[in-house]
Amino acid sequence: MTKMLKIVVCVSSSFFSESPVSVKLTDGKIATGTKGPVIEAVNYSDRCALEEAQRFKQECGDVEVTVVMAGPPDYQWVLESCFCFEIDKAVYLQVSDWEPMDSYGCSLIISDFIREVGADLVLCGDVNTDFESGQVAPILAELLSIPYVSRAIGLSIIAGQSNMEVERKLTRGNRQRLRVTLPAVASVDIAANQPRYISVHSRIKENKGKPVIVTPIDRQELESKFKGPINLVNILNIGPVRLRPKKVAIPDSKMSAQDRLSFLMGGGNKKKSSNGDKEILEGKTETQVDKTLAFLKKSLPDLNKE
Amino acid sequence: MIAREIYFNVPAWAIYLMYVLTAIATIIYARVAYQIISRWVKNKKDQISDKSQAVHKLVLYVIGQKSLFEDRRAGIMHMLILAGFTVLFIITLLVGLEADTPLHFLEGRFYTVFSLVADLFGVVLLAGLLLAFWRRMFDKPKYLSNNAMDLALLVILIGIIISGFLLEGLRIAYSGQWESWSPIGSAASLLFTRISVETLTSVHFGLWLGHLFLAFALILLVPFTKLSHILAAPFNIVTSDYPGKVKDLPVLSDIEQRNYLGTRNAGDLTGKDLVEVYSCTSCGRCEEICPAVLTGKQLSPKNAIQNIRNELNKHGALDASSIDFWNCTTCGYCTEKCPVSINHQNIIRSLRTYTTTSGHLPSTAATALENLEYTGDPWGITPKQRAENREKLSGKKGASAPASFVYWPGCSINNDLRLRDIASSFVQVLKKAGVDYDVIDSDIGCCGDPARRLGEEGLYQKIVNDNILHLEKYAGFTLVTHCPHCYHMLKNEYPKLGLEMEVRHHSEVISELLQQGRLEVPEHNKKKVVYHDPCYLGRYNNIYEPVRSVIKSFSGFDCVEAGRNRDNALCCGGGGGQMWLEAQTGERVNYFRLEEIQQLEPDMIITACPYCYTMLENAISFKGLNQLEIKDIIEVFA
Repeated sequence: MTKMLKIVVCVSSSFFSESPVSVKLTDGKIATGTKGPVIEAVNYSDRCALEEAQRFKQECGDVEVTVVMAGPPDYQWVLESCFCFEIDKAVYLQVSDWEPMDSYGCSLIISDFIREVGADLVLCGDVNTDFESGQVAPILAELLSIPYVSRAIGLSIIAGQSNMEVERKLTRGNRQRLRVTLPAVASVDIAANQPRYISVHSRIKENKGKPVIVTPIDRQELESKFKGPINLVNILNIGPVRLRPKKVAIPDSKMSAQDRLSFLMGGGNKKKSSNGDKEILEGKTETQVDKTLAFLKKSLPDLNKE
Repeated sequence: MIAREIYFNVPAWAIYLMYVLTAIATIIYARVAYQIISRWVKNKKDQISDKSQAVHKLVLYVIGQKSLFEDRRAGIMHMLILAGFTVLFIITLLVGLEADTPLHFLEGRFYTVFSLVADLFGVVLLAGLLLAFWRRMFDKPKYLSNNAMDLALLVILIGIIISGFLLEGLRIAYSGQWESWSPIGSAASLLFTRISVETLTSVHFGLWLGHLFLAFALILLVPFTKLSHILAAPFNIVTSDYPGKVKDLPVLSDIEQRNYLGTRNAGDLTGKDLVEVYSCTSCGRCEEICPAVLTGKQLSPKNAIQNIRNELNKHGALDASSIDFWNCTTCGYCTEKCPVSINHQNIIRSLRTYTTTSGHLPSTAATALENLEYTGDPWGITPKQRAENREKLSGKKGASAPASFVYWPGCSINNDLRLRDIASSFVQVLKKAGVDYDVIDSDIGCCGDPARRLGEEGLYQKIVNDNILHLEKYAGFTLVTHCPHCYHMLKNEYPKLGLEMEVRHHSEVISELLQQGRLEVPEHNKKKVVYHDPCYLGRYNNIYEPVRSVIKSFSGFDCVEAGRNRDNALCCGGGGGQMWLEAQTGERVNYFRLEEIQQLEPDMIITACPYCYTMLENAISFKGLNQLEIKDIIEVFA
């Protein structure tokens, strides 16, 4: 009889700064709330990790999936969307005095939780789209003194659940295959799978019988336990230090709708800031012809003579 | 007095057998009826039924079979069957009353008329059935699929009629008297004049048993085969919005309390859905014109309905994967053509709703929906970028008079410079005509159509509720949009969630401005022009003429109708969320539609929808038809 495989998936939220937030209104209608200028959603690569845990659950059978997230008070609702995956538990480690908090502090809190509940496999997303530090998973492995594999795109547990084979993504399409002993930490690359779309309904529906377990953590107690501050790195500033050239979408009529869509989503063509003579012509064909002629007349004075 | 013995030469046990079979049939019918009625009552909010003009629909489309006569041969065939079947059904009921109740009326003059009518309509039914047989075996219209059950049902029906006439003949031969009020039966009796009485009674009873089993085989097959349309189709036609615009899915209420949305299994089908499924006759008219079928996709509206029906017959489960629902463009052509008013696309879209809200949808669509939620635009254009675009369209600055229109430019202009020309052309036309207008502010993004079509019900409701809140400040204004998808949403979907505003399409506005003489018609060179009808303007909202009247006002334009036009127009392939989905199989719908239009060798295609514009422009570029122009109707004024 094989023992139950315990998977802990560490997730974080990422935000989109210009977006509204989906909340429930009192009259039962769903609409945008005014909770601030950001939307908090489960980070994309963390969703890939969740999808991978889901696959283990479907393929291996006796698997318990616990999702854990650390954060400030009143953000546990971000975890509710994880219930659209077939998870067993969602635990929110609610830390008082959250700010400032770096990857080390976050890893410290989560490692404490994992030590308590035990895990055969800890999955994380490769990077958070906010700051792209990608540090939680390796620090977590170090704190738990277990192996760590980064950028995993394929995971399979073998030999009575004591080993795991991992396929890693390298540059130029190369793949590396590794074998690690369990327990281990793996950060899942976004190329591993296509995570399911988290619909508005899956976020707002009443999770009957499966609430998010909120575990309060006192920061001061934690710091006295670890004999020092849990935050080692402080963010000084976030902002554009180098202006990027403005991008405009120039539709190329020879593209298919799908190619055009990808093109547009990718940001379109670069348009250099206008410095006199250089300009991408826009608008109707007639306008473009007129502008071209004007340019040629200006550039080739002989034309004007004729 | 002239009369006849009802159970002539039939022993009592055979009559009891008939009653037992009747009881079994009654139980089966009651079970199906209970299934439909209980779901009809339970899911009342989730289904659309329109009982208005019920008598009109009954007379014209059930009794008059108007839609069937679009194919004259099929119409005549079905009318013969309908007339014969209905009259013989009434005849059988009267015989039942005579046999099993104290009422006795089948005698004397009434009986002679009764018998004559029965014989004549027996011939009518037989003629209809033989025509149907001919169509299936020899005529073979390409959209009519043939399977063993189709032929078996025809053979059973023909068998019932012929055995009925032979039974009558045997009874008349036994009596030895020519009954002129039963001409077919009397003629049939001539076959048996040389048979002994013993043989005659034996043959009669054997044939009676055969007739009985055939009749009950038919009765018992009705709920499980396409013959169920006999009972369901009239009810469906009367309770459907037919004829006219295609009706959209109802808005799901209390979605927070639902574990899942849409159709996951057969139990989620509403009573109306069941009536529609039971109404399907597999006639294939939907398949003949479906853009997905025409371009070689796996989706077939007919097969989708039939698959659901088969699943219902087998075990009540529903395998949604058997239906290629992502390829539906929601053009509504199938519903328009369906003679029994089935709303295929709503049943298909309900399957899509379940799949999307449970998270399993193509990645391109998922990205569009995430963009839509995070930025209010399916292409991810932020409110800041939207504000920049709309600033350029603003027209009310400095205007002293209050704006009469609020222009809703939609999301398509945000990402495509060519489409932005449509918006700028429209505001130029409004300015030329001296119309004061305002442009909705950038807080309002997409109308929610992509979410609605891709099955993201929660996001759709969120966007609509948000936009309605933002639109409060424009109360009393008329919303104008150049996008038929926005138009349909604002006019038909938003009112379901509380919006009360007049909504107009830009083609209606410019058509009116032209009629009022407020617009000058610019000169154009002589051009052959084809107008492509957008589905969401035409079939969904019955707006066909404004654009045509504008085109006709241009002396240089020679307007030619596309082969499929108005309510028969073929989709461009961009609706139903297809703009964010990629066709995996078959030809692209926009290429197919362009080829159809190209047969007319036009110089210019005019449309009134940014989706159609993008799709057809893509097709023109792909085919290298550089000499062929495409314009939105508003651009011909530029």
